[in-house]
Amino acid sequence: MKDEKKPSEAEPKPKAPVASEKKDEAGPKKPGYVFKIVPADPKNAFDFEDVADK
Amino acid sequence: MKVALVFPPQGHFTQPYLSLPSLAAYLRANGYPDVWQLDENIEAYDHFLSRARLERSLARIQAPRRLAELEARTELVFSEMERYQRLSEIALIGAEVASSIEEAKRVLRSKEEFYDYERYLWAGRTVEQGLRIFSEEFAPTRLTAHGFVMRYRVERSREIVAALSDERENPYLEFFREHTLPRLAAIDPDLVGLSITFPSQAIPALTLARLIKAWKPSVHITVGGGLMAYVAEKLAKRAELWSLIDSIVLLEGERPLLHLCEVVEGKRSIAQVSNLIHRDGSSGQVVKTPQLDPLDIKTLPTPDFDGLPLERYFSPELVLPLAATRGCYWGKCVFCTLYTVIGPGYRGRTIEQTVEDMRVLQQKYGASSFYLAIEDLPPNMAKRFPEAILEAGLKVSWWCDARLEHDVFTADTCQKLAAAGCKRIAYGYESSSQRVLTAMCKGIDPEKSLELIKNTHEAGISVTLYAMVGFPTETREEARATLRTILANQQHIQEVSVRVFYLDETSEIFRRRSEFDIVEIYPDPEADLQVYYDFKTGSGMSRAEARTTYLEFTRALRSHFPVFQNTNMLYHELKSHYFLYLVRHGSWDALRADVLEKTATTKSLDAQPRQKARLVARELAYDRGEIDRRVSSIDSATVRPRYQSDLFEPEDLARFDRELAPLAPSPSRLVYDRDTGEVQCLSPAAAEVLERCDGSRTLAEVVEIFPHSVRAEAERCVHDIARAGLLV
Repeated sequence: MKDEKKPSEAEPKPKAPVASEKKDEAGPKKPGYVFKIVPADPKNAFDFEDVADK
Repeated sequence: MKVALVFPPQGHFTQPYLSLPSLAAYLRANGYPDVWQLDENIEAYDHFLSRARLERSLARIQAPRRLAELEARTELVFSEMERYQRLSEIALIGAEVASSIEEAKRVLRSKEEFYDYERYLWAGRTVEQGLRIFSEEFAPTRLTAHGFVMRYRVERSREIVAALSDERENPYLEFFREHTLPRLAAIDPDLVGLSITFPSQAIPALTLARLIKAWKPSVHITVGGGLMAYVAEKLAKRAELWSLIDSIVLLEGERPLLHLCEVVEGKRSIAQVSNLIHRDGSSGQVVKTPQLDPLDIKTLPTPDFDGLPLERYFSPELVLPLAATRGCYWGKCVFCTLYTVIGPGYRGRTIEQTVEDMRVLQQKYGASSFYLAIEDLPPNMAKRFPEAILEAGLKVSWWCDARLEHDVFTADTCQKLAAAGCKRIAYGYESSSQRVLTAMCKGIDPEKSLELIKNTHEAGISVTLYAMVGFPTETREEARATLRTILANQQHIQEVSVRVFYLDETSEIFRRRSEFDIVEIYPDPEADLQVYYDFKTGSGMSRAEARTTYLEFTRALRSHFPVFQNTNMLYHELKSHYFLYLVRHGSWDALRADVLEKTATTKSLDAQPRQKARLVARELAYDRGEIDRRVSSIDSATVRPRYQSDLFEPEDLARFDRELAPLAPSPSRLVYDRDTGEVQCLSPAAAEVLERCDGSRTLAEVVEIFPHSVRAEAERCVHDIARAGLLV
């Protein structure tokens, strides 16, 4: 865990996707009122590993 | 003889790095006064995050038009969701961010406003949003506060070469042409030195080298720095490299660079320069010159920051890096690769020299904050440094890394360190398992370590722990026990810097890998610059389990540690900002009470709730919250690990598009708060609740348009909206 960043890692074989929705699992939307407020979360928000190295 | 030393993008933007000032001081002290230092990293950030440049990006991106095209679709596949996520944000906030970006930089540089935490958070968010806008122009390239990644991998020289001339995706081509080359042309150097410490600098540095060679073929370009120590010999085999640069300096740069000046002046043959790789002019052979013992760092001058654009870093005060030692006095940890980067041996300046360095730098630049850029605070220095600082009458604040040295960090020593301005110590804790620590050759006892951590915190010094997940043979239970121990002692721990173990081919563990039950490694035949290897062990966690456990750590840290909450901004700007806040407030406990806990308190709901005036909204045809959830549910590192890159491979994206469920339209509203810089996504019912919070209705009246069965839920939504900061 030094201040020097290190070169890039190897690329191993791809694993299976881990997303929760597979094609045949997508169900119909639930009707009714949904009161939802969530922070918009951009994909490149904060990663501990990125920050640790510079 | 004119020398230009360049720090190429990308590093962080909060303070200067030490490489150029160390080299400049050495050259100036040894007969070469005409040395220019160019920090093209901070120059690039400063330019990219300017109003004019962001407006140029917005004009090129055409976010509203491209978003409208996506909105017209009957469904979105995964890659479209990713694009939708980016474009919907830019369509909403782009113009506002461009018009306020200069103000955001001003806040980060302001001695008053930087310490107004609300203003600081707004400025930090605005800078990050600005970087997302800029990145979109060069997508899938991504520049953040912490990294720069392109589709091209830096472990494949073929891909690096392709990146150097990619006008579409390499943002530095235009920047270097328009800004760096004119600066260099004004200097007209005979020798250019490029310092490449991080992988994120590799493509920008060689992009610049290529442009310099095209402009002035006669200039000698040399590259050096931490990254080169890893990959130089592999890179040197690539013929194209030698049309970009003339030499590569290995390990410490002072002496080779001085001798290269003499080579350029015709006073020395290049064969007589130590620690160098170059191509022989007559034979065309790549030659590596002998390696000499490193210099005694007691003979080196104080780093010289003259000429760096010190007012441009995104911090209100200078935090200057200073090296009191080189190497590690312990030097036994089997995962460590310091020997590769620094070279043999451990060397230190005298304590008196380091105190004098601080005094000189304080006098010259008005800096009273220092980052000791050392591997670990040596025991004798921990004991004697405080007294030396106090005797010299220096009023300074500083932080550094240290080993959890059992006989050193007693309550008494910690109090003396705190009295001498030590505000933060980052300890290599790694694991709570004695078995794992012994296998690592850490030489520490985790139980005793907890006492030292307590001593440090009770003296008023902020404690950071480094933790490692997935060391070969480590079990998931051992890693989880580490997390439990950290959480159980969190009253004494302020930050945890956690990462997954990487198998580096230059480490001791790689050489002795069978002893660590590593049964297989997976070289990438196309990665000629490969340093890290994926691997399989006969026991302990798999690599995927290690990544999953790492994510468990990050989730727990975010929910339990105040520094990692509230969008993590202080940690985000780790290098200097959190430290400067500690200095301002005196200690962690004061910072938490005065700033973090105050900010976290939500005021009670008004009788007639009213939404803020400075909200900007955009109606969307798709549910942006659901898109965020789906996009973040795939952790790219578990799909196909790429070191410090969260970009998906094109073939993986295509597979997700085929295999994952598409998203049907479902409206939502995106709301941007211009005061905080935060963006929220609201469902249509929540958006209606927000609309009705106009200051004229009571809570009961706000929700009265909804059926009785959901009114309680609607009332909770008003509270959620208040917690999200959207009400006055």
